[in-house]
Amino acid sequence: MTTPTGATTTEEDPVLVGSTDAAGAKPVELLGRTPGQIAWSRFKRNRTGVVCAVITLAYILAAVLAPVISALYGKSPYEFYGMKDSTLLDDFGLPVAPNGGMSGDFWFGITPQTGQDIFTNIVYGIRTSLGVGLIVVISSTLMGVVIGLAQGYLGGKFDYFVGRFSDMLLALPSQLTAIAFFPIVVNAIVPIDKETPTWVRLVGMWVILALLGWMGMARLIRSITISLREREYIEAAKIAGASPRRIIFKELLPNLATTILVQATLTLPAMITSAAGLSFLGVGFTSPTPDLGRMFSDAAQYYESDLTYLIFPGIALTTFVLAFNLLGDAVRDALDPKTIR
Amino acid sequence: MLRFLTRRALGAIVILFLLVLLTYLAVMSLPVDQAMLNCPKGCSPQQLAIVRHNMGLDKSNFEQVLDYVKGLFVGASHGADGFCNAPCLGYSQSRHQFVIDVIMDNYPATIMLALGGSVCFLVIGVTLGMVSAWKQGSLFDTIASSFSQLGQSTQIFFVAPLAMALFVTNLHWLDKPGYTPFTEDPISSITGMILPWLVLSIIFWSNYTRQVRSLMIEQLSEDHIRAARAKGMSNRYVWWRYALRGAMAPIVTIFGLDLGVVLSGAVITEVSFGIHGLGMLAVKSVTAQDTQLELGVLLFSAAAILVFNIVVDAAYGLLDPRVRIG
Repeated sequence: MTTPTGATTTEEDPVLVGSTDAAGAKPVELLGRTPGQIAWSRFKRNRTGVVCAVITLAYILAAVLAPVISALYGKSPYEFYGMKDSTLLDDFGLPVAPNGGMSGDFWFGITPQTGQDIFTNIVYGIRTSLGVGLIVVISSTLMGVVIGLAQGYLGGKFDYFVGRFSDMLLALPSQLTAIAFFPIVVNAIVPIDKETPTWVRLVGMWVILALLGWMGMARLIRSITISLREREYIEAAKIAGASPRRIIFKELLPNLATTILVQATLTLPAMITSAAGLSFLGVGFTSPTPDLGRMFSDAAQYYESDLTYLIFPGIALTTFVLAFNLLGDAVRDALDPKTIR
Repeated sequence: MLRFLTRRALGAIVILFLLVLLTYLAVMSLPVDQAMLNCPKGCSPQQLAIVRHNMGLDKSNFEQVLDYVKGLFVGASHGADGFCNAPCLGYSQSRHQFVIDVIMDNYPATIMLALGGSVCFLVIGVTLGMVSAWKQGSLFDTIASSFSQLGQSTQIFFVAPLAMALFVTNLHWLDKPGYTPFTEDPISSITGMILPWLVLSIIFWSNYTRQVRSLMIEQLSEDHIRAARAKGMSNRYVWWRYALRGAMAPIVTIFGLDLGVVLSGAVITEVSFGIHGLGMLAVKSVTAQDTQLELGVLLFSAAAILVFNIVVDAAYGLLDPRVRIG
């Protein structure tokens, strides 16, 4: 990030401001803009980015306010409405009302067999997905940054062995490994013959996805750190007698912040879909925990008779991932204008 | 070249060896008593002890790993089940077969899915990317790039049932997807795989479209292209002979890596379409708590990925003379 040289009071075109300056109409106070302000103004001009930011925000709000939404809407994702009201499902356990039971009461229809409300299940499912995605991204980013920095800064044997270790993890087929190791992690907490509570499953997904997800970030940070390490300002700091702690936290990290932020934004949707994929395969969350991935594996059984159950979660997840992907691109463009798409 | 290959192969073997250690010890920590699963109902403690001894479960963890590694190189004897030949990955309790045989039964489906699927995403992706680069900024370009974005953001477990509902249930264009060996019935083998191929390719092709587009645009502004044009070469010749060739090396790299990924088992695609391949096998082995099978599948597909990484690096050296391997 270059330091801002243009002096502007507003976020308007600097040339315009400059011309009023030259005309000498009135003396304008010279104000620099921080890199953050520049990035923000650049981001605001990206229409796709703004739209996606709004959509993402809406999803986040829905996730946070899920209990409020479900209270206002008057349904619970855990309730089996089909069992209470026998007119909702027919003899085959399929919704009686057309289009998968869509009605004023059940906006997105009800699930076959149990008659759960799909709308609240999606809202709560987003909450689950986003929650898992966030904790996984935060922890894998932390791991990746710490390991990558250490590798790049320390170099030598440490760098070599950690590098080979991450090569080894990268050689693992990630989905297969996650499926195979999920029971192992879960079992480390709860014996396999006991029933597994939801939080244990959450921890299982968290540990596995984070352990298999830090290598990309570590590699990136390592390569940037190696090139930054040789720069003059780091050398100057060393000569001035700065401690390694100061060099890492005050000199290196601020220069890595952009990369870390962009990479983390782009990883979140990937992690959310991985988590949903695990639940789809039956190793993540299980009924009755509301989860998008689990809804897909349920819904796939009814693709011939009840498409509604499949379509709403599908649209919800695809929109979310698409918005987040595009938002990630926009954030990258705003923070790092050098990259060409 | 030979030196490069031997060095990389040795590296891969070391990685695989470490993986065996890591995964074996991790899987051993599961308190699933394999002997119990393998013992008929109401089996006496004496019988159980015999089964345990036959399976080598009475040895320490470390000895078991050693036995496993030894089995990989020289094979191992499995009591009444006979002798398990050289790359022995153990014995599957749920299938009552050697793990390597189970894998070999299921692997053809994965190969078929991977090869057809990768041809689909390579052809679709590269074509879209080339046309986008050629008609840069046109409506086609916009549509292709939005479509790629959408494809990258959607999920196989969503598209697969939708595609089946449309093409199988409603339009009756295709039969329910499934794997038939090509040698048995070539036509139904292909028609059964068309949907899985196309659906699998959706999540991959967008990357190719974007890469090919930007690589071609970058190539076309290079000096040697301008020189070729200045010499009076036709646009088409320059396009195919020079620009495409320059853009190919990175594409081959991505392709090789992706091929390794799909060949190591496209779990979600296989489960969505009910294809009995490596990925499906992995899921089943986990539900059946068949640890030996789990381990075998994992190592087998890790080996597939490693082999493809080496092939890719070697191919890169051949395609791009500037890259020196060794």
